[in-house]
Amino acid sequence: MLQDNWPLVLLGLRIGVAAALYLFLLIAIRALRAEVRARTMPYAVALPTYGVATPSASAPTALVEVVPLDAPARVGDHLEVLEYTGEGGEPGRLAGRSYALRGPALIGRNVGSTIVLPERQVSSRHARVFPDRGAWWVEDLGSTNGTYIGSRRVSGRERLDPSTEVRFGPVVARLVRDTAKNGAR
Amino acid sequence: MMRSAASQPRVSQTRSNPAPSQRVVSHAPDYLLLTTVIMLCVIGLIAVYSASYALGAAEFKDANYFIKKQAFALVLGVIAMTITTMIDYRILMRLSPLIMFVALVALALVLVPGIGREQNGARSWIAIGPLPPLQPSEFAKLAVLIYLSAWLAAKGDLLHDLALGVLPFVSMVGIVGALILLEPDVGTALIVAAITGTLFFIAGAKLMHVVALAGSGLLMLTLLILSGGYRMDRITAFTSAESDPTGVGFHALQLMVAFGSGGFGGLGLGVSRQKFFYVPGAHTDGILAIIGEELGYIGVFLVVSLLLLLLYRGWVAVRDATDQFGSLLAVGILAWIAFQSLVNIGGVARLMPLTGIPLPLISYGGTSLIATMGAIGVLLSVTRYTRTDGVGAEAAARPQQRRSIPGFRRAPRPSIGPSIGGTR
Repeated sequence: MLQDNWPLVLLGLRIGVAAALYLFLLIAIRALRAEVRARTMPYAVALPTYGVATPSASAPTALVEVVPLDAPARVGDHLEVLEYTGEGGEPGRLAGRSYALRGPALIGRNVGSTIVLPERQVSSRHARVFPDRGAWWVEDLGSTNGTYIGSRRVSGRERLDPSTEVRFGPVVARLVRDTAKNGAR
Repeated sequence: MMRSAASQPRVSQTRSNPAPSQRVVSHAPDYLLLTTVIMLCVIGLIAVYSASYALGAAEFKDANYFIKKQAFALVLGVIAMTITTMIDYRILMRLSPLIMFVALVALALVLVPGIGREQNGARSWIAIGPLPPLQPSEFAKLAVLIYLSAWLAAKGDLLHDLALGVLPFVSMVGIVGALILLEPDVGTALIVAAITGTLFFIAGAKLMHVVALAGSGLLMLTLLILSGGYRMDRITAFTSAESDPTGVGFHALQLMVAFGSGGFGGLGLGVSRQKFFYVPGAHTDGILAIIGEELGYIGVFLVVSLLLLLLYRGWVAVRDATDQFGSLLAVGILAWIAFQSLVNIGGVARLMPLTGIPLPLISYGGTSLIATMGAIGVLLSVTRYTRTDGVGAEAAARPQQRRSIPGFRRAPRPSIGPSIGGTR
């Protein structure tokens, strides 16, 4: 039976392999789509800008800048990542980083985010930090592991205070306000 | 805290464009990608020499006829790749209408008798004066994907709109496709359709629109197959080559003979028997069969692995690119290489009907080699502007100290503090 139809079976197998190849290609293309789409989100253009910016709702184009802690002068408000426990109980590798806040910032694992936190437990679009009425606010964007202020999970928008810690998944951070506005620590 | 004395990342004042929003740190290109491409080119050159000397000697009384031309094209390809690597790819965004215009003019000129030159039944060559003839359709692939990437990146969500997003896309691709179909070069037109369709989908077009476009494309392809005599023969050769081993099925069966005689380890470099006029297009479309006969399964495995490595590094570039234009450019170039490789290898391995598409970087064909290397240069340029701020494992895996190649700007050390080169 099988021997009689051998050429047909072989043809079927060949078409099957070809179909599997195209299916693989399709899956790869779908994955790429998600990757590229991440860049069309709001605040996706995360290029550095310079100059002092005060938090105000009228600065929608303001962006973010990555500044090492020992840079000579820090101007403006910052989000500083504190010591925290990373994957497998190791010290978190983002600890000590400081992100200048220049306006509304998207926080997430995606490269399209304004502040990129490459930790597995941070959602690709995790939270949003934005200025309003002279203060900084945080809003969770439906993240899996949540955004916390102190030990309270953020729902809706909540005010960020320099005195309390904010946590994005595992990453613990604190708002540092530039009170002097002249670059002094 | 193991805080390094890192300094502020130096922002390159891009020579061409000091617009404040365009300042992104540039660094060394992806050397692994570059190495892979060079290896593929070297393998290709050796394979072309081995596969072509019989035909060269018989038709041109010069066994080195083809290898000389291919080596010359490789030199031009390296120059093209170096140039496109060194220019900032974001300049292409503003140049894209010009590039597209030149490509359309060249595609139209090919159709003019006296300027266009006919070969193997297709008027796809253009010869200006004493210059070696070129195939504008190969450069058109690059032009279309640059133009579309710029267009799609600027379009955003307007892509969902039928009148503002879908129709302009269809007419743009339609014009290019029609010009190539008039040559007629169905294979190249198909590749252009595949590249542009992939870009359109990846940029975020509505699924319904993509499905409708793909459906109508397949319908047109089916009609084309049913109309042209030799295209139906290709299908017959695919389904039942054994029924006509000396006629329609000859090509497909001789390819099988080549792979079969090569076996696992191959007969040895230069010892192929099938290249002596058994495998049609032994140095062009059928080159993988000759590699399979001379170097065996191992040789084919090596070539396919290198192609996959190239695609993987391209994917990394898509992931780490700082803007959507760069991502889309990389996607388009990846789609080009992936589809051509898939269709060529699939045809040679009898998994799909034969189409006459060359294997990128390996097959004989000067224009194809130069255009592909130019495109890979663009991809390398995208890798020079990827994020290095510790996103993913990529930045951590990169060595801290990069050697600089003369001509490339030296990479500034990623200076985001402790994470880089740290625990991972």
